[in-house]
Amino acid sequence: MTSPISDFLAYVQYRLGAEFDPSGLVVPDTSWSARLQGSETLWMVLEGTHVVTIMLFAGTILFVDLRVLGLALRDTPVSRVSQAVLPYTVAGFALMAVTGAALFFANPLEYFHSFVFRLKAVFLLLAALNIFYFHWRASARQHDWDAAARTPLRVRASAGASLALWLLVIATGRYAAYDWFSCDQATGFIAQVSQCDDYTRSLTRAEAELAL
Amino acid sequence: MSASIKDWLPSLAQAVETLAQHPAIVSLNQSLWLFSFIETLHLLSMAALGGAVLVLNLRLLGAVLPASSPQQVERATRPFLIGGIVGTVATGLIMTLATTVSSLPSTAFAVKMLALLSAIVLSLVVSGQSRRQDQRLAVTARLAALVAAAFWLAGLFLFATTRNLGAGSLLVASTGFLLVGALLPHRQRLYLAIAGAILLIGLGGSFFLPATAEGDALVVRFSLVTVTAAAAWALFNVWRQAKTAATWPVSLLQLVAFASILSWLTVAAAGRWIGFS
Repeated sequence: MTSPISDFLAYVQYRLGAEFDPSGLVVPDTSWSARLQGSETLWMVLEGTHVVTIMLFAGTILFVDLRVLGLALRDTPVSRVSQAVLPYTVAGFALMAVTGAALFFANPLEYFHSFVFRLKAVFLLLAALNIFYFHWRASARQHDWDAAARTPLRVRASAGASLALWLLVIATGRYAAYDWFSCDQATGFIAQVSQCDDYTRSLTRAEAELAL
Repeated sequence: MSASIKDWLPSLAQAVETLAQHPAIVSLNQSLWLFSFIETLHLLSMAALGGAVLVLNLRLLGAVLPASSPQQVERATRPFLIGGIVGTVATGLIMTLATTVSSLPSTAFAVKMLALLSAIVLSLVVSGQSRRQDQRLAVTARLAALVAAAFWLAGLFLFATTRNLGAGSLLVASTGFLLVGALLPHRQRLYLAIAGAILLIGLGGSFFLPATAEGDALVVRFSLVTVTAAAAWALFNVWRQAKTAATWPVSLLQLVAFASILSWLTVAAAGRWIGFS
């Protein structure tokens, strides 16, 4: 039995937009995904933008979290710092999400079954949940502590978690570029978590349809 | 002759290569885990540095925290600016020593060094000036900023005119227009459209170009035209403002702040392109 998600990603990687030979087999490296991977300039700019935008996204969220933690800009109300800085953070996040999605599109099957990439996805999900927690729970009655140098514990805990999670997202993003835990090398627990059996089955099926 | 540190400063390059033979550096180069850890620290330092540079310079440009004085913002960002510079330079130095074979002859590395020199000086001018009540730039600060800006522009043109690197300079040019768009609400659409056009033509077009020398030559030509047009547009605006604005000294500091953001972006982009080239 194969996984529908893995099969779909294999379809995206090998068949979507591809050319077919007269016998109906896929001409290798002609899918949109493969062409994006092979279009050196565009791929470099997407990857370069994704990395460089860390300065905009993580750099600005750092100062919002530091203010909430009472470690920077203590004289300025929290709301004033977030209103001024967060639009830049959101712009940075949008840019990282778009470039990240395009980079994922260039190699979807391998990324989906990469242990480190899955860790990054978990940290991203936790960071997103933390944002929801901060806005809907932790920042309740913000007018009471907005101007205070020392904010309530639940608020500081959320800001600390934000810093730690984004740090882990950056670190796992860096390690995702290495193939140490890819399904080609993974065994045991790592291979199980990465669902490497599904990867191998979908890859084998996709490769069988290639005109080699 | 290519443009690289190895060509410009052969004796320095030789000294660095000798230092790279140290057993600690050799073992670092052989340990992928350790090298990737240093790379991660480099990225995290870059994030802290980016935040400090953006928050302070955007404050000087009037885009954020208008109720806080530049002195307050400078005080808050200073540890991260210094920590970020020390962190990125220290980890960058280790990475350079571990990869001398590819970094010293690399034009992207030379671009990065030119922009780094410029970015540090511009940040020092911005920080020093923000600490004072008087926003007028002293003659020495003006001179330092002028020389630093010349280094940055030289690096940017080298970036734009080198094969396999040209597209990196488009990031800097389009960010310049995006930044101006963010700062000038009444002309926002115009500048966002210019940045969008650069990205669409340069990057969208490059998807259809063949990965050959001819395809790359087209990217380089487009990058050179874009960067030259952006620089000419910036110089024209400086000249126009110098002729008319009564608040010229304050605007001069704002120009330095603007150049500081873009020079740090050039450092980061060129750094990424070292890996690509």
